[in-house]
Amino acid sequence: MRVLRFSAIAAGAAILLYGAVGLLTEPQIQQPGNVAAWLAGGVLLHDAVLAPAVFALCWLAARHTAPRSRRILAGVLLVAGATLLVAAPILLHGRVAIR
Amino acid sequence: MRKPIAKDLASFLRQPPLPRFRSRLHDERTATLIGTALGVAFATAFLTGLISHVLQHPPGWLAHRLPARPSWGYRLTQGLHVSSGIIAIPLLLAKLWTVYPKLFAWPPLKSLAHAVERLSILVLVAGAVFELATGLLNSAQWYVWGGQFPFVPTHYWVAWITVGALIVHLGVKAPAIARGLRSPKTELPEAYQQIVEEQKQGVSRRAFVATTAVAAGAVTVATVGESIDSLRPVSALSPRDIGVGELGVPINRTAGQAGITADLVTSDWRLQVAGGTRPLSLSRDELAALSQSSATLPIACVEGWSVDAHWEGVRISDLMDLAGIPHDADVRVFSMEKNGAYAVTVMERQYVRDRAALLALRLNGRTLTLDHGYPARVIVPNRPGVLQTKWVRRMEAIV
Repeated sequence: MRVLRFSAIAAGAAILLYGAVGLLTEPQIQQPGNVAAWLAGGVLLHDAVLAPAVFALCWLAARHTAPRSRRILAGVLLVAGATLLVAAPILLHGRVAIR
Repeated sequence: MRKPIAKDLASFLRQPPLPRFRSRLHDERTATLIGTALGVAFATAFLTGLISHVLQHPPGWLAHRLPARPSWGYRLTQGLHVSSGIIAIPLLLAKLWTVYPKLFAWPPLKSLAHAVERLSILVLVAGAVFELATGLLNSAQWYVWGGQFPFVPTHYWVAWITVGALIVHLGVKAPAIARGLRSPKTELPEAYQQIVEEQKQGVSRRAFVATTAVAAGAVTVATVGESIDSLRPVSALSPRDIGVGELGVPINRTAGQAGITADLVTSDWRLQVAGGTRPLSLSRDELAALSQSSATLPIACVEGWSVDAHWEGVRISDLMDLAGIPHDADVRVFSMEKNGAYAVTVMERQYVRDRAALLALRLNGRTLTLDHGYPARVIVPNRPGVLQTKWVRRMEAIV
């Protein structure tokens, strides 16, 4: 188990490194800094904007709803939220315009 | 006066007023259940992504081993690629919700190993969010990042980074995953306590996991119709509406976008077939006078959509025989398009010699339209849409 774990960690690190070197040396990617900014931006958008908003909603719902309705509300919000997010590109940008 | 302040500071550092999370759903079992589903989705997306990458940019040693059959192979793998990415969106968000409290673990760094582990998770989250977001936006052909980076190589390399970080994460978390996969104990007092707890809280683990599964199913059904014809009516949110398009097939790149103007396709147009013992120069009428074949083959786009269509034209293998091109030759295909990464492509011999591979003149019973590649276009089984060259002007054996 120990050997398996450490070989997984070593293999994963090697694959990660392969990707990082590939990204940095890819001739088509002229400014890897831009990619780094978008990578960091995604984490910030989730950890500092989306997640706090969702937890604020959870906190409000926990205060103002009964357990039974809370379960339904959580279900509806989770499914609707996920669907809305996946649909965001076509809601904001429209379906692919070229027919 | 100094001492109390120092004391306050010390106690502040020991336990700063960080947010507290009371829900029982931030536990190993929930994280493992949702994480397992997410892992399967990521593995599927990664492997099918590699297949797509290899089909578009085959390395030399593999170029002649790529199979032309089954004809629906790329349609399946690329449909899976986009669907597994979309399904991973609610799974990733549910997973991150479950483990979010760990972000506020105190002290933030306990040891060097702990620091490295947190760094690998940062890379994993950054890569996962990036891949799903850019993939979803690409399927809608909405390039919000403009010229900051090219989509294809960036999506490809960040996939390796993400999967590497994921494997590190699995290695680090193996004991927690093993605990999480074990069914929770069901001793009576604890089970009783659990029921009481659930009634107090409202949302049980079972409800949370089930709701996440419903969300994953909902986003799949809402989008997968762009690859599965029969689900088209319920897939109102698929980025591509495949029910529209000239001759029943959507168009990704119009003649206008490719720089094809009407004066390029007048009756002067001729197809050159070179590199064999009998070079050919054929007008469209002459092509249409050759023995015609037909095939039902899908157009399957890298963005995930695909449709089956009925094609008629000259079998590429017959055309090569007519031009005296040997059976083991690969063929370079030249398009009239002015701007585009796929104006000149290589068709390996296994595609050239497939019985269904056509230089198509007609689509779904009608003459090709200009946007569909008139005067003649390539249609070959089991290749990405970008390699189904339109507006062909020249085919040349590579010798």
